[in-house]
This record gives sequence, structure tokens and C-alpha cells, in this order.
Amino acid sequence: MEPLRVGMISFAHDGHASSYATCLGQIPGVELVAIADDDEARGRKYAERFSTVYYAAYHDLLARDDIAAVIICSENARHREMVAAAAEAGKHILCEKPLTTTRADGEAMIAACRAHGVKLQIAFPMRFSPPTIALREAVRGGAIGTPLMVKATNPGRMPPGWFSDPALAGGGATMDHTVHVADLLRWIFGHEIVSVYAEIDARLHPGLPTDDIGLMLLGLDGGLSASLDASWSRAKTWPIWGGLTMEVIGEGGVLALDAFNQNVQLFDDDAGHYSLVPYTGGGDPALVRAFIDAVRDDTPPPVTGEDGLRALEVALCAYGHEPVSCPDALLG
Amino acid sequence: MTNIAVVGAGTMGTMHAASCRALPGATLAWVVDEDPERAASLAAPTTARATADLAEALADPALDAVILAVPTPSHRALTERAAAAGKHVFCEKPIALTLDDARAMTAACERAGVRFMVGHVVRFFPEYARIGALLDAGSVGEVGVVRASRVNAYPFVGRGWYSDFAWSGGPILDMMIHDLDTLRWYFGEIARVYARGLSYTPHRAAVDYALAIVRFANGVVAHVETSWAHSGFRTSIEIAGSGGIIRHASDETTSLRLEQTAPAAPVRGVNVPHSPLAESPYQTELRHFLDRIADGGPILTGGDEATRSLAAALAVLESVRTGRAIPFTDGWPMLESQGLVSDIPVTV
Ligand SMILES: NC(=O)c1ccc[n+]([C@@H]2O[C@H](COP(=O)([O-])OP(=O)(O)OC[C@H]3O[C@@H](n4cnc5c(N)ncnc54)[C@H](O)[C@@H]3O)[C@@H](O)[C@H]2O)c1
Repeated sequence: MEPLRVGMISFAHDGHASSYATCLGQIPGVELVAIADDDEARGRKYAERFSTVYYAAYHDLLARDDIAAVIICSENARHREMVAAAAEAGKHILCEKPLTTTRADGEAMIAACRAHGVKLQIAFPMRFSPPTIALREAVRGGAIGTPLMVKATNPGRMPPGWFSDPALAGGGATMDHTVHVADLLRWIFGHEIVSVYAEIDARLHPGLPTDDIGLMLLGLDGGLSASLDASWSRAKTWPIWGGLTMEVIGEGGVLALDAFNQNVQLFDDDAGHYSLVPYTGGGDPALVRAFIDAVRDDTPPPVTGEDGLRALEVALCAYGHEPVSCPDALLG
Repeated sequence: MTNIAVVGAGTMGTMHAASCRALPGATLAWVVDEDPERAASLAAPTTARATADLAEALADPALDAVILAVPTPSHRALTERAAAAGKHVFCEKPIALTLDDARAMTAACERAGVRFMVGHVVRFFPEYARIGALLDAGSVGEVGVVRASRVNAYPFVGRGWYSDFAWSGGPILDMMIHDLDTLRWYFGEIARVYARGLSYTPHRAAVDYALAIVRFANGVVAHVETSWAHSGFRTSIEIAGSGGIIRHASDETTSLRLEQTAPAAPVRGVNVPHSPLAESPYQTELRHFLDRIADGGPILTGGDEATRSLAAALAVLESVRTGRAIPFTDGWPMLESQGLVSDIPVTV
């Protein structure tokens, strides 16, 4: 059987991109055949690491007829241009979260993929994280009765580089860390988020041109309420990059998820502080696998562009009217 | 020596009676409870006299101060009676259920020239005091975002009156007020709050829960959780600043743990503290009260402070009830209702 050939466009989100590249390598019959990156040093580094071909211009990668699908991990604000070009070239697309930085861009991306008949999947790996799946099954199985309230956090250390450049990232911590939980809320509880109250600020990193604090209270249709802490509030000496927690209060009990609490403790004298070292691969392997399956089997991707847009809207809404809730912005 | 009457021989009254006995400067002179048997049994192992009639204790010229550990709706009336009798007043939190009551209590004590302290004991918990000292020392730079949590099980039997929302105000007035008070102590006045919760939601099960986002006038943003939906009591606090993080979680600082081979050894009545202390926070707060009576100095948790913390808790409740953010000016919320609104049915 012909291998399924995949290209990757931009390693701007290098942590996730290299994880996806590794995951591709673990799927039988799948080949990572090209990496395009306009940052030549970065592109060549990863092309060498993953033993593949480097292109400076992503259009050259898209011009290759043997490539069926691409994974796009560029800066948030560049997703639209690359997704549109890839769709036009007839490539199926796995796009890094958040979908993009504006609603208009998001709608255009979805329309382009639909017009060219290509699949668009958004990289929400938390849907594929085993503890998160177990939480969803327990909630849906009635372990705590009717869910009433949710307390969620997705804090992290501030990532370096373009993540705090509002022109490229579309915002700061709130743009970076709102969408995972927003997507999980929709996916676990099957309700849309219809109101957003947010306190957004920059207080933790002097001179930061964007927000590093994002605290939200969300209302879902059907009556559920959820809080979300999306702040870049983990100290440099915090033992791990951050985490994702979700405590669900139900009529019959409480279910508490700490999705990244699968680590061993490392006390390394050279590091000056202790670290938590994960012993699982998280959701990335199953996320990439699901995308490949959807392409091969010609089935709808499990996480769609619309899912990406709904989650993005929550972050946009949080930025919109501080500090009022803005159901109109979401419903309209 | 300060002669003290403990009024209300329930959970907190028992705690305060123990503090009186432990502190060298205090004498437990009276135990008052409308239930004479309760008064008698708490007084029995001590030299204190027991009565069901507060007037009898207040008439004792040797009595210096009262500790009011009665359900919250009685706080105002008993504070006013004690103050009128010239006794210093230590009143359990929350100070009252309405701002009118709270202000009247503070005014009554001022008029009578007696000291007035409210039992916002969390400020006297050594871990929260240590955090305050670390903040004062600038240990984590500029504070940005804070998370405070206080969860407990639903108060069924034994804490009968708590499940009556009109008496207790639910977990927001019973528990969240502790964190609102402590955060106010750390960060100053509040600028606005927004909250969501279950206090005004009819639901089948006995659960109450709320989440609040509090913006302080100095810019700090805080997330505060309160719960009567968990299976036991625990607290946590985390303060993230530009230079690091301070955190404490009660279930991560267990310095003594008892595991008995059930069911042979019933643990009922055996109280093993998870973190044994040389002086309990209740003793520390009582010592503060006695020292301030003696030296006339400022009381950390006086009537005005307690009234502001009550106002903050009422603002959280009003936000839960109305779905609106509540703005504050000079630390006082712009409230529709200056007291607990409890006429919305809570289905239990
Ligand atoms: N600081 C804290 O952490 C904390 C913890 C729990 C309770 N509290 C507060 O302490 C107060 C008492 O709570 P509790 O749990 O001890 O209550 P409780 O029900 O255990 O005890 C109250 C006692 O007061 C007696 N009583 C009621 N009305 C009276 C009256 N008018 N005169 C004399 N006696 C009367 C009752 O018979 C009962 O024995 C409440 O305001 C509560 O909010 C504070």
C-alpha cells in the first residue's frame, strides 16, 4: 500500500510541532516527507531531526502532489493564510490551536476547506488525553449525577517568543489558554458557552505587551457554570510547565481531574528546583492518529473547524468587554 | 485576669471555652446557653457557672467580656445586650446577616465604650499569617492572580441551622466570608465582584457551591471557591506574583495522620488534628482580644472590618442572585439589598 505522505508547515509552535512529528513517525504507513518553515535555521534543524526535506517556502511544499495532508503549527495569526493555501492545494489539514485570532478569519478558513473538499481538524489534544476521556465517561455515566458547576484551570509558564506578541498571537495568556478548556466544556457536557465574564490583566511579567492573567466565569446553555483560570501564572521554579484541572460539582458528588498529574518527581541539584517528569505521552499520539484515520478512511475529523471557532469565540469574548459578560457576542 | 462568659455551648462555644481554659489571662466565669443542659455540661469540668439566662451572667459585676457563639441571627441582639451591660464583646463570624445589624452592633459597642471583635479566625491561622508576612516582605514581587478555596460537606445533622439558608446565608456567608476577609486583609479593598453559584438554584440534592472572581482596587485578581458539595473540609490558597508563587493546601500539610483498623476502633469523638499546633488559632485570636482589651490598641478584626467583609459576601450573593457584576466604591459594594435575601426557595 502507498504510504500516506504528510508535510508540516512551520515549527513556530515548536513544542507541539515536534511532538506531532514524533507521533506521525509512530503510525505505520505514514511518512513525514517535508517541513516548510520561513525560519531557515529552525526549519533545517527539525528537518534534520526528523530526517526529512526542508522547504523555505510553504507553497513549494504544497505544490508536491504526493503530499495528502499537512500539519500547520505557525503563529496563530498566520493560520488563515496557510490553511487557505493548503485547502486550495487540496491538502487535508490539522491546524494547531487556537484556530486563528479573529472570527472572520476562522469563518474564512472553514469556508475555504469546505469549498475545496478538504478536512480541517483542530489540534485539541485534551480530547484525547486518557484522564480527560475518563472524566467525560464518568460524568456521562452518571458518577456524580447532574453536573452543576465546574472549576477549571489551565495555567502555564509564559511561553517564550511570539506567544506574547499580540500581532502574531492575537492576545496573551487568555488567547493561549482559554480554548482547551472551552473546547472540553463543550465536548464533555454537550452545551454551548453563552456568556463570558472575564478579568484580564498583565501583572506578572513586567513590560509584557499583552495579558498574562485571564480569569473567567462562563455560562453554558442548560444552566451549567464554569470558572477558568488561563493565566501564565506558573513561576519559573514551578516543577512543570503548567497543567489542566477540572473539578465538576454534581448533585451527587465531585469529580476532580488533574490531567497532567502523571509524573515522577526529579530532584536535580543542577536545576536548582525539583521537576515533575511526565510518564505518559498525553493526548498527542491519539490526536494525530485520529487525524490520519479521518484522512485515510475519509471520515469526518473528530474535532472540526467549527469546534475551533466556538472555542476561539470564548477567548475573543473574554477580551471584548471587560468586565461585562457578552452573550450577544457569542450568540449573534 | 479577664472573666469571660461563653454564650452558646455548641461547636464554637466549646472551642472558645477550651481557649479560655488554656490562656493564662482568661477565666471562664459563665457558660450561657438557652438549653440549660448544654450550658451545664460545658461548664461542668470547670469552675464556671452555667445558666440559661444571659441576664444573670451580664448582671455579674465581675464579668468582663462575652464570647458570642450563637447562630448568626442572634448576634445583634446579644451584642447590644452585652454592650449595654458594659461587657466587651467577642462575636463569632459572620458579624450579622445585614449591614444594618452589623453597623448597629459596632455602634452599640462604641457607645458603650467596650471593645468589639469579630471571630475572623483565619487571620490568626499561622499559615495565613505566615502568608501575610511573606507578602509584606515582597517575597513574590507584585501579586497578580490569587486562588483561594474553602470546601466542606453539606451541613446535615448536628449543624442543623446551617442548612437553613435564612439563618446561615449558605456557604458564601458561612465559609467564603473567611477568604474574602483574609484577602481583604492581604490586598485591601475590593473594586468589583462577579460570581456564579447554586445558592438560589432549586436543585434536588443538598449541595451549595459558588465561584467568585474578585478584583481588588490595587489590581489583584482573585478566584474564590466555596463549597458545601464536597465530602470533607479543606482549604487552599495560591498567590502568584511577578517573582514567584506562595501556596498552601491543608491536605498537603498533614503532619499527623491516624488510620485505625475499621470497624473495630470507632473514631467518633476522637479528634486528631491534622496539623497539631502549640497554640490553636482560636487561642491566638482570643489572646489578641484579651491583649487589646488590656492595652486599648487596634483590634485586627473589629466591627468595621467585619462589616466590610460581610458586605463583600453579600455582594457575592447578590451577584449569584442577579447575574450581574457588583461594583464597589471605597470598599463598599453598590448593593440592591443591604442584607441576606433568603426568600427564594432552595429545594433540599
Ligand atoms: N470561626 C469559625 O470558623 C466558625 C466555625 C463555625 C461556626 N462559626 C460561627 O459561630 C456561631 C455559632 O456556630 P456553632 O456552629 O457553634 O453553632 P451551634 O449550633 O453548634 O451552637 C449554638 C448554640 O447556641 C445556643 N443558642 C442559640 N441561641 C441562643 C441564644 N439566643 N442564647 C443562648 N444560647 C443560644 C444553642 O442552644 C447551641 O447550643 C455562628 O455564628 C457561626 O457562624 C464560626
